[in-house]
Amino acid sequence: MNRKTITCKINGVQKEFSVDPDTRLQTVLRDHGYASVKFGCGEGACGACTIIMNGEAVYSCILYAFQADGQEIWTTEGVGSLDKPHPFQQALVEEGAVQCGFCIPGMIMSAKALLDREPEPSEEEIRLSMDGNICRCTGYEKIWTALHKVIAQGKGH
Amino acid sequence: MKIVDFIMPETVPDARAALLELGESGIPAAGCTAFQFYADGPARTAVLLNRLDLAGICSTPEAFVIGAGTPLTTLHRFEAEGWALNGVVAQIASHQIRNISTLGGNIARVFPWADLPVALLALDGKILMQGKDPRTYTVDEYFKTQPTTLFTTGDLLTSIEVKPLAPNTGFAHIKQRMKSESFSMSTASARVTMKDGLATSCRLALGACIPFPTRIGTLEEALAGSDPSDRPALDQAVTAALKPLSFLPKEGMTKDYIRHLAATTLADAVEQAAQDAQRRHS
Repeated sequence: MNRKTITCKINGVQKEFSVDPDTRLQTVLRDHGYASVKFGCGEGACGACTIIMNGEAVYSCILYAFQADGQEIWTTEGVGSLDKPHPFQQALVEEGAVQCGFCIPGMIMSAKALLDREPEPSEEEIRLSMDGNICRCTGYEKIWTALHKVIAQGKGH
Repeated sequence: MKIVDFIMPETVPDARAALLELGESGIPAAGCTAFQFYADGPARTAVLLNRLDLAGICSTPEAFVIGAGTPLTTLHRFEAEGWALNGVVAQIASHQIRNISTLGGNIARVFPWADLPVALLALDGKILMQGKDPRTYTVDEYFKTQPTTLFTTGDLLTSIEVKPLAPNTGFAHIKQRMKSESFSMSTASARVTMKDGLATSCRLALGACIPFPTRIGTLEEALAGSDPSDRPALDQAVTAALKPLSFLPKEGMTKDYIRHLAATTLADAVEQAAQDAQRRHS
C-alpha cells in the first residue's frame, strides 16, 4: 500500500496527514483527535460522522481520506465553544433537545451548513438538509424546535 | 474493493493516460459513494476525476449541458425554465450523499435501484464520452444495456445533455420507497406533451421494479391522443403495457404486489406530468 501525504485545512488550521489510500476520512479525523466525528453506521446512512467540506455537509465515513486533499473541512470542534456556542448549539441546550447526544455533532454540522448557505430556509430546505441525520432518542421534535428557534430569532445569519 | 493507490490528474488527457496505463487495475473515481457496493472487488488504483473541470451546468437553446462531475446538489439547486432534474435529485439519498455523488457516477454504471437513468430516459438527451475520439450516445442507446459495456479502458464520461421541457410539456418523477433514504422499489418518470387536454406525445420510463430501467414504448404509443385525466382508461392502458414485463420481488413483497405498485407509480407519473404540462402552459 502506498502511503501518501494529503494536506487540508481543518477548522481553519492547515494540516498534513500521511494516509493509506484505502483509509476513510472519518478514521483520519478521529485518529487525530477530532472526536466529535462519530463512528455510527460506517456506510453513509446515519449522519453521526457528518462534517462540512468546502461549505457542504458530507459523510466522512464514506469519503476516502485522499478526497479531502486540498479541501477545507470543519468539524464540531471548530463550530463553537462552551463560552461561545453556535446559536444552534445554544438552542439545543435551551430546548433540552439532547438525550444520548451521539447524533448531535452531525446534526450541528448539517444545520450549520444549511444556515451558512441560507439563514432563512424554507421548511422544504430544512427537511432536505437534515434528512441524512438520524436520532434514535428524541423523536426529532426538540431538535426541530431548536433549529426553528435559531431561524426565527434571525441567528442563522 | 480495496483502493491501494490514488492519482489526481488535472486534465482529461492526463486522466485518460493514467487509466490507459493502469488498465484493469485502475478505476475512475469522483464522489466514490458507490464504491461500497463493489463488494470484494480486486485491488484498484483510484484515478480521481474531481480536478478535471467537468462540473457545472450550462444552458443552450437545445439542451442543458451538464458536466459529468457535477454533484447532485448542483442539479438540485439549479433553476432555469424547462429544467426538471431538481425534483428528481431531491428524492435521491440524503443531502450528505447528494453533496458528493456526481451525475456521471450515477449513470456510468446502473445499479438496479438507480433513479437518474429512469429520469433521463423520460426527459431525452445525449451522453458524451471521451475515448480515443469523442463519441455521443442518445439516452436510449446508452441505457439499452448496462452502460459499462460501452466503456473501454481510458474512456471517460464527460457530459450529459438533457432536453429542456417545452412550455406545453410536463414532467413527473415518482419513487416508491419504504423510508425517505431507502432505495427505490419502483420508479417512474413521465414527460408528457399536451394540446387541448389530450396527450400528443409521451416519453415514459420505469425502473427499480424491473431488472433494468426501460422506456415503456407501447404505453407511449397507446397514450398518444388520449386524455391522461381519464384515470380508468389510463390504468387499463398501463396494466396492458406492463403485462410483458418481468418484475422483481422486493422488501418481502411478491412480484404481483410490485407489478401493482409499478402500475400505480407509472399511472400517477403520467397523470402528474399531464397536470404539470397544463400548469406550465397556463
